[in-house]
Amino acid sequence: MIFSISNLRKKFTRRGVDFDAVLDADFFAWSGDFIVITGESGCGKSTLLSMLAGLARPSSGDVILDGEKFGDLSDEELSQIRNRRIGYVPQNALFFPQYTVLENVLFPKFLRDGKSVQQDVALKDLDSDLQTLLKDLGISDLLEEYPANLSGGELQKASIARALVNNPSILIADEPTSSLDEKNARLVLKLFSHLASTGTAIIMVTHDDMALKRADRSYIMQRGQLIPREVSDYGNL
Amino acid sequence: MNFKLVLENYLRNPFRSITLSLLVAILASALLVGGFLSQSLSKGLEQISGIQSDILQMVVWVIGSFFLLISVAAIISTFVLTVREKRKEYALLRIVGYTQRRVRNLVLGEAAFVTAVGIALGFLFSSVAYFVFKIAVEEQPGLLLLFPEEWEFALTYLFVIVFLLLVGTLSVYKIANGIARSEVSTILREEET
Ligand SMILES: Nc1ncnc2c1ncn2[C@@H]1O[C@H](COP(=O)(O)OP(=O)(O)OP(=O)(O)O)[C@@H](O)[C@H]1O
Ligand SMILES: [Mg+2]
Repeated sequence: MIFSISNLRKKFTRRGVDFDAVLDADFFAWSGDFIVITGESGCGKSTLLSMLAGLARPSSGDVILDGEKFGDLSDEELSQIRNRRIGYVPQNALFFPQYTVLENVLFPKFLRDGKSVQQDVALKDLDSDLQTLLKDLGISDLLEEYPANLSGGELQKASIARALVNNPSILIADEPTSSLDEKNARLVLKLFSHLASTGTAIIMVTHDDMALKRADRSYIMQRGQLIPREVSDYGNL
Repeated sequence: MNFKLVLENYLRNPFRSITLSLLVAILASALLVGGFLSQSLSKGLEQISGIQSDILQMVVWVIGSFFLLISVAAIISTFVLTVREKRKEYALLRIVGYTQRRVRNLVLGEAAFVTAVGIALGFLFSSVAYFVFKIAVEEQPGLLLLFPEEWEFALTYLFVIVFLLLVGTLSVYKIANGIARSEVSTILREEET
């Protein structure tokens, strides 16, 4: 799998004036790459990730997954990629309030299999990889709850589980550890490292220095520009 | 799968769903009762001739159109607000892989379903009201009231069904398209209303 962008740009208009939230971003990821992007608030990280996830259209440039340009794909094809090949963890946790945590986590899987949401699925009915994932994330006791009854951190972990439920080739995560304490953040990073070692590409935005230590490559965003971080920069963290 | 989702969304938000359906039910009964009454009234007026009856006929029509307009406005505003409230959930559907068309159809389907339930409830309410009314009237032999013919009944029912279903579904057409087509990232950024 190779995932790349070239000259990616996103233009917004604010009070009648155009500005580039993302400007000429270049970047690629292979299977198993663990990539971390950092940068100040408002520098364009979420905007970049939403284009990578096929959730926003670039003003110019394109996102390319295994030779297929997102811009050339039909909505049907792109939706299928979002369902099967890309896992996306939004910056703010978002759930269907009428479903339990487990039903939420499994939703993309039901969709992939063309099934409607099944009620009364129990942890033991799930395949073992998924059971392990939910246990590793420490949310296996919360599956029957409704999202409204979970804490921000618990929701964030459930959101990660949902993004991974269809075994995507790419995980795109927007500050996935922002509501987590250090122990839980470590746990998530360890999980991401493990996923990368089994071939999933991880693209993660974070303010967490611990993530940089685990990354294969990292970038810093400054006012819309994506700048590769030199290895020597790591010393000055 | 869409229909099951429509049904589930309806049943799992019982309060919201029933409230919306009740609104439609009230409008449906108002339209039915209003329809029958104005038909009876027109019949009565036909027997009196002259300018006065023409004016009265017009008054009946004006009042009728006014009620129609109000029901359209009530349905549009409530339905659109409800959909707006749920737009992040629709955005989530896009994230996990729903196509634009499917999201649009879901929004339309939900509106149509809420309306259909409302119409059914409305028919129930108005039938009960009508029979009570009919019995009360028939017990008073002095009162001259002409009931509409059967085909007029049928026509009124049909009109109310088609009219409300169209209004209920089309009221969210624009916002359904808007939500389906707008960039998911834009919806995610929006503040809660
Ligand atoms: N739809 C939009 N219309 C206008 N401006 C926008 C829009 N979306 C994003 N922006 C602007 O683009 C810039 C980048 O926003 P973005 O959300 O990508 O920042 P970020 O790096 O993720 O910030 P944070 O760390 O706070 O999450 C911001 O200045 C934001 O105000
Ligand atoms: Mg952001």
